[in-house]
Amino acid sequence: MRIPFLRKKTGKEEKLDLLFETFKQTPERSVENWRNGRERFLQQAQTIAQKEKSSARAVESHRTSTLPQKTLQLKPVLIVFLVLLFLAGGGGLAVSSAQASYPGDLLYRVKTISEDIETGMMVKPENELTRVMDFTDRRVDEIGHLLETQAAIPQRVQNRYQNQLENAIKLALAAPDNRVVAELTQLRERVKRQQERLAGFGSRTSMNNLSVFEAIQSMLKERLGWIDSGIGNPEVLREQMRLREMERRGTAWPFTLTPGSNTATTYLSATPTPKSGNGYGPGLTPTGTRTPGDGYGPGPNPTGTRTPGGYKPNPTNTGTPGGNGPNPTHTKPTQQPGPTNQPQPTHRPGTTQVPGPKH
Amino acid sequence: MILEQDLLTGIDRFDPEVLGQVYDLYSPGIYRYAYRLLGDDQLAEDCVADTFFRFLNALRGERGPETNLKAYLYRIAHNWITDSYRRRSPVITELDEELPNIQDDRLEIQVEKRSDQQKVRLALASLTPDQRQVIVLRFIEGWENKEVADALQKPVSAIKALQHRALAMIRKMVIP
Repeated sequence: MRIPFLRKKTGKEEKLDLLFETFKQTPERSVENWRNGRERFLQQAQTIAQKEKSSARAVESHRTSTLPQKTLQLKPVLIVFLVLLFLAGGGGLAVSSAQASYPGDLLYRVKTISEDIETGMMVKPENELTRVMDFTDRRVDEIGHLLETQAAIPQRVQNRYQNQLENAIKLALAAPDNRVVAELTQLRERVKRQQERLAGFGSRTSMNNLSVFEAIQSMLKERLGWIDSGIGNPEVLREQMRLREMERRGTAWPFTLTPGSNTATTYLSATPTPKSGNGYGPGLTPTGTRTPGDGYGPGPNPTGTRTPGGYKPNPTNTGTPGGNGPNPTHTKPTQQPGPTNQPQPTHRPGTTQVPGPKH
Repeated sequence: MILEQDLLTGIDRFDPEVLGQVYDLYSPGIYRYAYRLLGDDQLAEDCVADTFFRFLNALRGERGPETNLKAYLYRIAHNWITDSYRRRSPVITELDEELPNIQDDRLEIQVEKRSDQQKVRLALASLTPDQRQVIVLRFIEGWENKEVADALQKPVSAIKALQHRALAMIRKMVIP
């Protein structure tokens, strides 16, 4: 559409019209992406609908005080039914249904086992890399879902995510020399997007999940550092990964990988026992001096003050543009989940306008 | 012809058929909207996926739209894009390696086109979120003032004022 000026347009306005026309041109969306997106959306809808139904059933059962007995009776029956279904050749169906499950669901174990089997059966490393990265995307979905639903993130989900990322790095390093940097760069882009997606969930992180959420972010930052160092010098990262593997098997001293380092000597400073500088967190400063906040824990700021863009509630209620946290002046926090991520009824200058809730 | 009221009734029931229709009807537009502002197909896909995921969560929490579903979805997408702008600096589009294979005149046109698109994208990135949304919905997506006002939950007069200021800024930035 053209800009509706009533008077005759000036040359500048016409030029702007042309620029807008050019800007409108976009490439066609891939049909495959559309199909996958649609399927995923409907699966999410189905999962939510099922949870809603089971939640409604639970409320109903609670009213009649029969919930414990029913749960106890139903669970073994359900498990036996699933086993029989699997044995009767419906294994594929169960595996397929399990793909939409989340940690804590009955079929989640089936999902992880099916992933392990699929990875184990892959012959070509490049196919395996693609698949493993798909699986890491799933972990991000799961973590996002758990953050959304304020459920605790199990340690095994974090571990699985970390192991799969490291496996992907190894697979990228196993590519032929002329492709390894390209593979690592591609991997970096993907991990970066995962990091951004997770950051997007930050505003919905409950206090219970905060330290886990920070640990995951920190882990991602560290793995991105590894990948960067691999892009700079794949040989060094190969050596680092080899030593890490040896350390895991107990054949070498534990050591700390130094993200961003391109020299083999920096990470070989052996640390035989865990100290406050090991593990997640900022670790040592470049000069080797320990600072408050090194080691385990959320980091150096004990007051919990967040900068704009953070994910804790905004205690000052200034409506700063970056804030994603709930507005404490509203008495119904569930209706005011944050200025940019969820609908809200009012608009304050400087904040992002969002849809309004039903009242 | 799908009536929006039917869609609104169906989505409250999580009717898969209706939800599929909603996705088919609005996801292509939201993808284009996100692509134009982000300049990256994968990010645009992420935006679409997250928009519809947040939409489902809003439905679950009974915070879904009562009217104007389209404006509601674009509002979620707009917020996602605004957050994305905050998380990263604007993408500087690099030229593809295949471009030199194109005939000379076409190559020149392609380069100019991409340069113009990037120019507009950067200018939009420097606007306030509201100004950006007004310009994109009004002049790129071709919405009427009333529709834009619904999407931003502001009166039409405020939309016109935003539009006026934003156009002046863009003009200053993209036209020397």
